Amino acid sequence: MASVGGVVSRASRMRTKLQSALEAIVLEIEDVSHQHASHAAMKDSNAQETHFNVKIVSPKFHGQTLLKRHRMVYAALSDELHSGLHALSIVAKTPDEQSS
Amino acid sequence: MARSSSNMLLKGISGLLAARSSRIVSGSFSQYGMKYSSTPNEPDTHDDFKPTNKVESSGLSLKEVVEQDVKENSVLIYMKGVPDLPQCGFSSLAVRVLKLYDVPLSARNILENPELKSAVKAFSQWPTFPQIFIKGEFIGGSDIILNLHQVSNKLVMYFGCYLLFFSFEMEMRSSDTFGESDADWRTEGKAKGYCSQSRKL
Repeated sequence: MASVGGVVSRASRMRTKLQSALEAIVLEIEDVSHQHASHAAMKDSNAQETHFNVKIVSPKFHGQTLLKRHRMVYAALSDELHSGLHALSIVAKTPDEQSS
Repeated sequence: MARSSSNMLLKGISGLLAARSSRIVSGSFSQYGMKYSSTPNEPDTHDDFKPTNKVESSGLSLKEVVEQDVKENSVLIYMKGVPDLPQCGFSSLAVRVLKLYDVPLSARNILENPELKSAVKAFSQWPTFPQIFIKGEFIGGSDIILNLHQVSNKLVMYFGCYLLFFSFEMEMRSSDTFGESDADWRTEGKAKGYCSQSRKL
C-alpha cells in the first residue's frame, strides 16, 4: 500500500527516488525493520521503517564497481538516510547480470 | 593423503598467524580503547588522576585520528559492538567473513563514541555501519564484503601474501558457510541476541 491515511510510506518514497535516479527495470523493496528491533541501537526507539532490503537492476550500474553502485543507491536515498532510514541491504545488478 | 598433509601445514601456518593476529588486535584495540574511553570525570578527583582524553591531548582532530587508524591497521572494521559480541547482524556478518581469512583484524565500536561514528561517516562518505578498510582502502559494508568473499571470490586478493597460503583452504570452506542465493543470507531466522542477518556457520 503506497499510503496509509494520506501519509506516503518510506518504501514508496524510496521506490520513487530509486526509479527516478537509477531507471530501475527491477526494483524490490522490503521493509525488514521488525527483524532489527532488538539491535542495541534500536532498543530504546519506537522508530519504524528503519531497515530495508533493496534489490535493484539498472543499466546505470554497467561498468560500475559494487562500491560505486552502493554509493549511487545511497545518494538517491540521501534524504531518507537523514530522516530515520537506518540501514540498507543492497543487491545491485545490471540487466545482464540479472539474466545470467 | 597429500591433501591432508597440506591441510596440516596450512593449519600450522594459520595457527602461527592467528596467534600473531591476536596480539595485534588486542594491542591496537586497547591503545584506541583509552582514546575513546567514556570513564566519567568525578568532580572531586584531583586533576592528576582524572582520565585524559587522548584525542584532545594529542592535538589531532577526529578526522586525523580516523586517517591514522585506517593507515596503521591493515584490516580495520568500524562496527556496532565488538568482534566477540557484535550488536548488529550486519556487523556480525562482516566480522564472520573477515575471520575466515585469519588476518589481523582491528575493530572499533562506534556505539561507544557518537563523535567517532560521525567522523568515520564523513571520512568514508558512507552512511552506515559496519565499514571495512583494508590496507587503507575503504571496501564497503557487509553486503560488499560478503559479495567479495562469496560471489566474486575477490576478497582473497585484498589480503596479499597472507592468502597465498590460504587460498586453497578458502576454496574448500567458502561454499559451506553462507547461503547461495541473494535471499538466503538476508532472510535467515534470528540468531539469539541478534537480528536476522546473523547466520550459524
